[in-house]
Amino acid sequence: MANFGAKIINNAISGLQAQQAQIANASNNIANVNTPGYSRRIVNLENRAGSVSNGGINIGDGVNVASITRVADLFLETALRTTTGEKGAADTQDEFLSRIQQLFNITGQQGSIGNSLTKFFSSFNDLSANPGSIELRTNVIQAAQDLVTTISTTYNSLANLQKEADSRVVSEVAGINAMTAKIADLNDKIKSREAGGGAGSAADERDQRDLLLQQLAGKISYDKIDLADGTVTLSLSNGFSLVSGSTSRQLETTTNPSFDSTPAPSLYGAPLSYIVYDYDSGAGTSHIDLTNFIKQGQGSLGALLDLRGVAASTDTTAFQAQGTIPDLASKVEDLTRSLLTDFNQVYIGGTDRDPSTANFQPSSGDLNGTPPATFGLFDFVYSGVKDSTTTGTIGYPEGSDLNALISTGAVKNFSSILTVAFSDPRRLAAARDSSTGAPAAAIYSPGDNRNALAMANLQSSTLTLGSISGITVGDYYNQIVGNVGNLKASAALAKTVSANSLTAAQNRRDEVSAVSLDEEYSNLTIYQQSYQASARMIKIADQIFQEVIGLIG
Amino acid sequence: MTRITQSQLGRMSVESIFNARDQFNKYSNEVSSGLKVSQPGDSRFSGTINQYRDLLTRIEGHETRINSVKSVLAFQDNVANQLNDLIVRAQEIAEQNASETVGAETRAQAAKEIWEIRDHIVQLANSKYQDKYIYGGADDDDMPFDASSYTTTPAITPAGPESVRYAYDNTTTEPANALSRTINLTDDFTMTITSPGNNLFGGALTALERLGRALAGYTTDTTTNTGVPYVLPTDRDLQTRNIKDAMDSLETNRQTYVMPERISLGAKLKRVDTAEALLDLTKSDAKSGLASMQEADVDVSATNLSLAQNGLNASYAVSAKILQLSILNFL
Repeated sequence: MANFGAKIINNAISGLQAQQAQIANASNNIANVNTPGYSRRIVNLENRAGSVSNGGINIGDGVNVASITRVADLFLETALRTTTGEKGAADTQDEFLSRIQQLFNITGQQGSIGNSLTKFFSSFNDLSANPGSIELRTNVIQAAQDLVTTISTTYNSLANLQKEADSRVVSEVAGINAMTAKIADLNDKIKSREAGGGAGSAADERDQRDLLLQQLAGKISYDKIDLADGTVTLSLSNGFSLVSGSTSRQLETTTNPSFDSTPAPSLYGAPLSYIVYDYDSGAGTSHIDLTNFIKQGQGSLGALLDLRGVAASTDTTAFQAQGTIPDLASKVEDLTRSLLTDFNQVYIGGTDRDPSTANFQPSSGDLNGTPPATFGLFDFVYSGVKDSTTTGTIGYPEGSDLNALISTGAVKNFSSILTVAFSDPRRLAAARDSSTGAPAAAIYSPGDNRNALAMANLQSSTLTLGSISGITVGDYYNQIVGNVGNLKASAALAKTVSANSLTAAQNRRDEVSAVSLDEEYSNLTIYQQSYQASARMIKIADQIFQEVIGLIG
Repeated sequence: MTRITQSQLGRMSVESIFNARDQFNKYSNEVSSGLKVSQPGDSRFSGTINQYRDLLTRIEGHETRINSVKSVLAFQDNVANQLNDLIVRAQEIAEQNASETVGAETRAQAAKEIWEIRDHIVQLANSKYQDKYIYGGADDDDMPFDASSYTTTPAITPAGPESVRYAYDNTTTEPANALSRTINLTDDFTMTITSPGNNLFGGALTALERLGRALAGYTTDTTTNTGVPYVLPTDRDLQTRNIKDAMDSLETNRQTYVMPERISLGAKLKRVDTAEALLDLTKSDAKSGLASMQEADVDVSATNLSLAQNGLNASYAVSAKILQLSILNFL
């Protein structure tokens, strides 16, 4: 005859243990309801295979805790990482462009280049009506100085933003290195845990790793491959491995890479940082350049590089870097160069008054009856030779002169060193030479307004600015404003869209993996009742034994 | 079965509050600044907005210059009218004294009035506007008509007004006196506001001096600036011819320079008025364009602000409700 008495107690005990495990698991889920990246666990129960009694009856041997499953969907986790990367990039772009757009305000307030340009031309128009007026001359010089100030302030602000972006690149790379090192460490733990305890035994480590992977995706784009041993391999788009098994490669930032011995300067002077990996750190340095690959991806780092700009090893100037900020700074620099070349050329009278002499003879003059002493209205702070195409000190710089100074590295940019050549209103050359016949002593009359008028007419003159010919300075500036506006509007839209996408991805992921307190508490009630039922069974078994003993005794 | 977790509820609550607050801030800024586009990123037409702003700033400068030019032209018009009246008066005097019946003494008396008219015209020719000579071309710091002399043989003693002549500055040695001053009234419209006065006044002054000297009893050679006294009564016919020649010269100058100058000034004033009207139209168009692109409709913004505020309050209330609900309250 079968001994069902022992089965009662054994089965009740297995039930108690199983419900305890359920309750413990529920308590763990509840405790981690707000833990970032936590995926809820499920206790999988299975009935024990029962032994067949003499009568061929199989009652069953109770319940086993078979396994604990971590509820996570690989596809949803991937979608979450993708949207996190997009949001990381969009947020960074929007943040910087919000600050950039303030440099090009459109409310008519003081402080923008456009406003200063308009006031500059207007001051010359006013002067042309009364060229001898000291007050109006002072207004012109003040307007010129305001223009110089707004240009240099705008340029320096862009340079500071580039510098900040570069600093953040360095910080982000350090953060990425820390994350990849940690991921590699978790790979190792997951592999060893799951090798001994089976799948599901490293649920906590997997949660931590998934969280790190998501945070990493917010910074940099990578491809992930899940291996059968539980580890993941991370690599950049060009195949460069960031993490492989328990090994991570530490990226470096450097302004002096082995592949570029003469890195180009940045807008603020020092070269931009390259993101590299040193293949041969033991025996000198052998860098490979990863900057462009990372720039083309998502994440905050890619956005920072896109904003800051990425220089090529062949670059020689700060304006050749490919990026939003260098591009804008380059356009501001084009305006500056136009002031130094086109504007100065008109200011000194347009043509050489006496081509027979070696030195350039300006054909404009001031109230003192003298021509401009320097090469025009605008100048720049530089102690060397500024104008190489004339033998004398009087002349206006052509574009080739400025290019020569930039290409030799003597001058990094003209926007931050731009000045007005003088402050004395009497020195403003509003007149043109009115002498006639063969070149003789020039005559500049105080009432002659032809040079002032010519300067005012520059407002509607078409020039070549940067790569665009046949455009006025005002229209060129308006193009810059429009470009900035479009960039910011696109960034704002991308930020909104990516935020919505991320929220949707998070919600989908949470729907599957997050803890629902309502669900856990409901289940807890069920587990509690089941536990009570199993405990009751033990009491019943005890009563049965007592009855039997009572009968015997 | 769809699972709704606490993290989803919390996230949705926070995001709805943030979104409602963004809308509230947006319309609050619109109402306070009056602008729906205050940064380039607020609109894809920020370049166009900047163009309108630039245009309105330029128009401000144009308006100031137009007002200034109108004053100058009005002044010049007044001068031209006075010049014309003075020449006409001189012609009347000449007409009266060209008769054969007028004696030498009467003519000599008439000469005195001619000298007064001449001096008045010199004053007009050397007029200043805002402390600048307006008939000296580009040389507006220097008096354009200076005194010189006629040489009479024998010399006139004591020297009187018949020995004085006024001539425009030498444009060979002072070429700025030959230049006109042109300014930009608007982006498309320039105007010459001051011109050399040698044509307008020079011929009239020379004719007046010839007339005065003839009435006073002297010939005048304007090529050499010399002359001799008439021998009367032998040279009486010569004197009468000289008076008539001077009179004709005055009329030629009046018809050739003074009348066209008056017509020209009238036309300029009309053109300035036209430019001003077109400028007003341009300004109105630009303001209208700018308003439609950049300025907020206060009524619409205020309504949206109110709606946004309601939305924000609703978000707060709903979030509070959702976050308070828990099965724990019932277990």
